[in-house]
Amino acid sequence: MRTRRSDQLDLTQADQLIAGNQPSPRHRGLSDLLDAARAPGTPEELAGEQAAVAAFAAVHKRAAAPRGKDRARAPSSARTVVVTAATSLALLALTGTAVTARAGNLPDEAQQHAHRLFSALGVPAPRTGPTNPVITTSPSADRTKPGSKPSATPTPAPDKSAGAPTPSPGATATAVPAGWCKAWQAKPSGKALNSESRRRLVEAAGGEDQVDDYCADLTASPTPENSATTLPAPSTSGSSSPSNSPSPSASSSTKPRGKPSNLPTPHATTPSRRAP
Amino acid sequence: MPPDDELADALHAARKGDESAFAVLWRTLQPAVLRYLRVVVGDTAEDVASETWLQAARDLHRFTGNPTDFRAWLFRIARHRAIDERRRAGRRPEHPTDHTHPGGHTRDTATEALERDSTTWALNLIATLPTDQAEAVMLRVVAGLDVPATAHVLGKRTGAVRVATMRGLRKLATHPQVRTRREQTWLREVTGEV
Repeated sequence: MRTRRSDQLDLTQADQLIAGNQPSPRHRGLSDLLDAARAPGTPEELAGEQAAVAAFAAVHKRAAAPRGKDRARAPSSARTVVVTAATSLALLALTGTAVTARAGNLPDEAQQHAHRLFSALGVPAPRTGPTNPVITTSPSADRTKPGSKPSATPTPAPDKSAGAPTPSPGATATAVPAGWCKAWQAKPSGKALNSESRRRLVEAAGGEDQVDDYCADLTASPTPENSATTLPAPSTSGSSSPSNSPSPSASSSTKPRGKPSNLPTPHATTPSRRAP
Repeated sequence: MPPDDELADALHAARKGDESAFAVLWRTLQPAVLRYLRVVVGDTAEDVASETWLQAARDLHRFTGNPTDFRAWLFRIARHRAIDERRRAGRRPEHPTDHTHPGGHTRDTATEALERDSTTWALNLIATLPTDQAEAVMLRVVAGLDVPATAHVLGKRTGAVRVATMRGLRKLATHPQVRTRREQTWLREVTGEV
């Protein structure tokens, strides 16, 4: 039996059927079909929930630390923190304390405090004393001798799943997001990166010709994010800080290899990098 | 499917890594994703659905938008994963088991069609449509996407989506099994059978 053209579904009827209304008895069969297609999920269809959630959880464990419960207290934007710190430092500068802090010459406690606040801007930790309780992440933990693995404690792995060349809000506390490495590797000499990211990557690696090795080390060891740091600034003290002062950066940014004195303690701290 | 505004909280929390929020999204959308993929890639639907959710989880931090946008975003991922799967398979996608006989039907076949799980039956029929019509119908009806969102997922113009949807529905309306089912249902109502 051929359907006469006038019997065919018109636009209004089609819209009604799609909306879940039955336009006329003539279209009851089609309406049933569509209702069946959009019937509630069956137990079989919903059986894979646990696996799906587990996969989601695994993705998020590898992603930046600031996201998630253990970062709940951290400001959501690393940039905000840096800006705030910069403002505070500017205020401090009025008193001359900042200069002293930058040189690491404040009394230990004060230096500690200043370091905790301003390590992103190149304020080093106190030279004396044991392990700095402020656990700053360090690219040197990754850039150990070739082939060696980071220590057993959670070392920083700037292993961001995003390929974005700039640090996204809530950026990690590690030196360099892996996305920058990806962008670098994608285009020669990092043309895919914006100039700021590129500069920081080069700084963190210790030189443009070191970037390839630096990135290779990073991508080779995807350890869990170091979530212990309380300072969410996107850098260790000085190593890829946004400050313009080259000396704290240069001395703190670990040269890639062959410098045992730069091998940090598991909680990568600046004292190790300021070893005499 | 619950209205999208109920999903807004879950989406917000899932973006921050909340697993139970993600579970809400998954429970809400997985059946539709599975069924769409069933029509588009057939028996590898479960695998492709898993790949879809994995990619969604990875890229969630880059997603901005409301739950309706999320739905379209998710199905776009699903479609791309399906296309990849078809390339990998290197063959035409298998359709879910299709018991359609060309030409007329005996009453027995029609009854059998009625008694089979009705969702599977419906998907089987939709899968007999040309691909663009099948996809349009699935995205409009089962995924619950509006015309612009469907156009976005398919990479088509909205006009093309409307045409494909209409053709698909009309073809389904004239399908022998659909007409038989219509008569069966009417008959049951008239005779008082439940």
